[in-house]
Amino acid sequence: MRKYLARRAVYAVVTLLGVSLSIFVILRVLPGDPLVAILGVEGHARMTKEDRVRIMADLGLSAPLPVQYARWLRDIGAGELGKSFFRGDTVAELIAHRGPITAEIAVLALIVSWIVGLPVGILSAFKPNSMPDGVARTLSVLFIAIPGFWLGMLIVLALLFWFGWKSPIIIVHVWQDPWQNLQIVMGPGIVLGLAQGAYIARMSRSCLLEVISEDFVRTARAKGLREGLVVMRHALPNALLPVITISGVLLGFVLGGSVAVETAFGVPGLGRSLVTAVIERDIIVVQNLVLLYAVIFVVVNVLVDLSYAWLDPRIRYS
Amino acid sequence: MAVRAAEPPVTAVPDAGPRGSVLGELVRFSRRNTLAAIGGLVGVLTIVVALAAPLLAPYDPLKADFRHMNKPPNAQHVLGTDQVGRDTLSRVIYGARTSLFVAFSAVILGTTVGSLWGVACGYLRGRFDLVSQRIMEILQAFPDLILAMAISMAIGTGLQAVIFAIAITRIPFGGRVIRSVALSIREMPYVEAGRASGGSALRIMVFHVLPQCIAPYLVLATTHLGVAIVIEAALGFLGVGVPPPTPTWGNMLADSITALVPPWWLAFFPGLAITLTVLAFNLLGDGIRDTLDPRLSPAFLRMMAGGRRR
Amino acid sequence: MSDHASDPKPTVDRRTFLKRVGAAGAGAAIAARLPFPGPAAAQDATVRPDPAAKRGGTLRYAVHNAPAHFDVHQSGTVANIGPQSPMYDTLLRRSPKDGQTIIPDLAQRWEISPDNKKYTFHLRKGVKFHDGADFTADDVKATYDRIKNPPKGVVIPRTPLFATVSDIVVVNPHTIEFRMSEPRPKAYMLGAFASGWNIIVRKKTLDDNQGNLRQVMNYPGTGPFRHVSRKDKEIWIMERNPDYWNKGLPLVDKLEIYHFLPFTPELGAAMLSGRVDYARLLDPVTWRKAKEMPGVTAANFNQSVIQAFWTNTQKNKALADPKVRRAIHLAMDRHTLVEVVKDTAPMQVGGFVYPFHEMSTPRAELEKKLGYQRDIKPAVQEARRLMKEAGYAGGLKNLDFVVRDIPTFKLWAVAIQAMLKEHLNIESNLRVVQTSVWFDEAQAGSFDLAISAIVSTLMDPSDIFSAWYGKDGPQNYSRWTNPVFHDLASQIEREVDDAKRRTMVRKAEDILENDPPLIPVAYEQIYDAWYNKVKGQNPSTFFGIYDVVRWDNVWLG
Repeated sequence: MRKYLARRAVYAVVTLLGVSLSIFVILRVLPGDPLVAILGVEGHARMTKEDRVRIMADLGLSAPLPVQYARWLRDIGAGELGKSFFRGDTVAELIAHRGPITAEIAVLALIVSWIVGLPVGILSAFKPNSMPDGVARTLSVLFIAIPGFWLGMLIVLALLFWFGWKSPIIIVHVWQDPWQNLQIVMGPGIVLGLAQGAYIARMSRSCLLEVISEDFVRTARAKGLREGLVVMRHALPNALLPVITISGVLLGFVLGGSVAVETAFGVPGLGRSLVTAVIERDIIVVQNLVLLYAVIFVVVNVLVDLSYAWLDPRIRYS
Repeated sequence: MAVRAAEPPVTAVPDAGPRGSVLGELVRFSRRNTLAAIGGLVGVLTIVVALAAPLLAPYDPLKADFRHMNKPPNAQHVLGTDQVGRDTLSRVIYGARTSLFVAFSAVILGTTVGSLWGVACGYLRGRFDLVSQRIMEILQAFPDLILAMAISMAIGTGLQAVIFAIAITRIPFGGRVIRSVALSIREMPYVEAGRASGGSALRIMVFHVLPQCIAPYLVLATTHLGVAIVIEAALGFLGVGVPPPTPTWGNMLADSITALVPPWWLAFFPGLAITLTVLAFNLLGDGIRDTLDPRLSPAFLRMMAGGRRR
Repeated sequence: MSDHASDPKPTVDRRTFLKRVGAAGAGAAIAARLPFPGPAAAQDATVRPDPAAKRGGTLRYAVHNAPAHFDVHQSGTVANIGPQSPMYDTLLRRSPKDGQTIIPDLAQRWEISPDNKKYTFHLRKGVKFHDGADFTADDVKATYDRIKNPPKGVVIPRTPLFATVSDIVVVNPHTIEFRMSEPRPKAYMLGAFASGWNIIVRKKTLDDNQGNLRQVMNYPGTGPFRHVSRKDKEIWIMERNPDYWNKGLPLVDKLEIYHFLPFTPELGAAMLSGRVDYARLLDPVTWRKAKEMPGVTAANFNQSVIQAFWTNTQKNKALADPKVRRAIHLAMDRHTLVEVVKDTAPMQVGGFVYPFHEMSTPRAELEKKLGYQRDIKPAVQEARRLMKEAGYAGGLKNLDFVVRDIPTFKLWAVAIQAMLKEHLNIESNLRVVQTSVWFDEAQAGSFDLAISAIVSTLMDPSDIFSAWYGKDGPQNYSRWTNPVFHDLASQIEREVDDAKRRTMVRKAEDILENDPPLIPVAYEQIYDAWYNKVKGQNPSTFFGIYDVVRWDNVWLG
């Protein structure tokens, strides 16, 4: 086990290095000039070559690329995430301020996905290929199919025009005012949660069906237990394991999906910051946020693997 | 790597059973999978619409008509017109062309590259596999939308850039799923026999392993078609998709959001087209998967979602 | 309206004033027809609080996205002026009542020598910066020295306005003289001193930061509000400056400035849902809705931004021919182009000089000219004739049309592409790029056609004649030259007689019509809306959004 963990850790570091190198290279070959956003259009138009050289040097962008990359890694090692090009805000501040919003959206999405997905999945598994099963399956496929940002856009407009309501326009943290905070994260949380719920429903349905056909369930049934009891008491706990782990995996998808959904809802989360930073060519912000997403992804995956070992005694890591 | 003992091996052995005509097969398939059949029908219809766009579209999708700008659905323009008087129906129809072309090309490209790579990984194992796995992990560790966005911007926005960008995000999925298939096939007696009789690695991969991967490849591709369509739309929504004036469902949606209240017909119909098409392909994908191997489902789903297990 | 700065009498007495504001309140159409007041200035019209005004409260104001940096001098965008102006003062300012009359600010009085070569400003006494330091003429000198001669690495768009200022002399701590090497029109110079960009900062601040304030968030000003806190891309909070020199002002206790991109649904939603009290740069749909809402007032006013596309005269041989450019110019159906974006951004038809400037061809006359008429047939006919004459009767192919990734430009590019094809058989390929890429391409000259918008820093033709159309003008992306025009432009810059200057500007317009350096598409308007509890400001007669953002006289009813 310890050996396995050590190996996973090495892999994780390799993955993260790879991510950092790829995003670094991609950002350096992106066409477009961060100085347009920094100086504004008018300032940029009047900038001389000398000015450019000086400003680029100030921003640390004129050093040779390997040096820039090495500096970045050194800064991360020192716990320094660097600053936005523009207003001198640090990336750490950005993450501390906006990260919680995105994290809440992810957690809310997770809760919604279980509340909606699991009962639907169980219902389907009770009577496979029945009418309710068909409806449930169609609905779940539908929710996977609807683009979240489109749904978000329609919801925002509907709320505004029918109720004259819009979610709070600046970040309110849960510890400042939980009710205001909930209004911010609710929309994206539910939209993303429904899509993930669809996966949960499908997953739990098929896992239940798989378990139900196994011997111990047949035995339970043979003992004359009621069908409901068989499913709830015997089949479900065994079927839940993969469902739990898929949630971990889906978390990564929620984080990725929140990029567009946050934009649609106008929620100032990390995903939206990332999109803005890419468009503004705020290279330092982009590279650090992408790395943060990668770290979360890698960590979650290690946890998923470990949870397997912990929940299922049949698994041994060699 | 984690090995889960209790999991059934992922195999892709098609249903054995009496074979009838192609039509008979189809009828049998639809009877058992009504939803999938409907999905398939809608999917085929969409493809037909896309191919026959010049015949079906009532107007030129690029032709601005300044006398009929921003008109809601009416007798002449069934789905209305956009801000410069282009016919929405024609644009949705031509949009199917671009959107499906992007999705199909990206998925075929990404999944094929991924699958071939996966076969090589699964069969060769060893250092090659180890390095490849790390590369795929790196690709997967990016949020796919951001990866697609960055790549398409880096190589210059355009149709090819978008296809290429989406394809890259699909590679690791193909790679991981097919790799695990290849891993299990590798241990099959007939493959071992092939190896024992001195067949080269390439030969065995091409003639023994590859054919067994076709079924999961098809399932993968069908399922990812929907994902690709949505990514194309999201790229358009974020402003880095296929550039105008070429209509795609994604950039139609993005272009509708130019005012507080987009004219509803501009915001609604492209979104509906995306939803219906993705729905159709997903249903079809489910059906194909169930038919090819019902046991594949849970493990398969898990891998589709994360591609991490096994 | 022809009063000059040195006149002791105020231009606008209170009665005329109220009449004007009242009329302006009646709506947009009137505002558009108001003549430009020229060098109107009122020396004794320092802003005073409205006698009926109530004090206190928080004003929630939504404006342009967060600034990219904090150096107002170096900026050219409302992203800086919008949030930062309330913290600073200028030497002179434009009255917040009409947005035009030049009135005293930190300079209590001013004198202009008869030869127009010396401007003397008498500064207020007892003014303090937010950090408690006294304000003196040294600060004014440091500020203007920096604007006139920016230190290395600093780029200030207003530098050319002071090109003829040869010496800035501190006479005593409260008197400062600007000496000029040659005279400039008074309206031009006073306008430059009243420009909202030229905020007075402390000499010490500049010294401490090596003359670069890009990353300094909160540097002391003398303005009515002072910094409290700020969250990037969200909000900037300011409080009343209790030591403000203008006793009794400001009237509200707190300013909350919310950052939204202009014309976006989010900004509109924030306004309509009542999450902000005052919104600027609204999209037309929200604005029209706001207009109908009870308890809400909506106003529109002019802005010095031209929306245009450039024709690269150096890369493309055909586009080097003035006839071809004139043909393209005539092939534009401008009224339709305004209509195309009517739900996206508020626009109006105009030519090469702001259509609402007193020196440009008046709207009614302009609309009789080819290229601006509602019926475009005669213009198209002439355009085709020109193409034939130039040897391009068959049209042009494969023009690379670079489009900035902003909804208005994307819509326009499609419409313009269609018009060029239909009227002149000119075929172009659209290439949509992000703003940062657009300016790279435009400056590198890698385009045939390129559509964008540019702003002038001063509402004066001479400013745009040098920046947009000048031989080496920073925004002359077409790389256009016309010796006759450049000569005339430098004469216009020197001419101090208004009537003569006007005639010359008209002449310059004619040259531009026949040899277009760019193809004008439209001029932007600004849409504001506010809940009626916000009192003391109606921007209907404002010109632009850069000179009158202070909020000192605004109160909440």
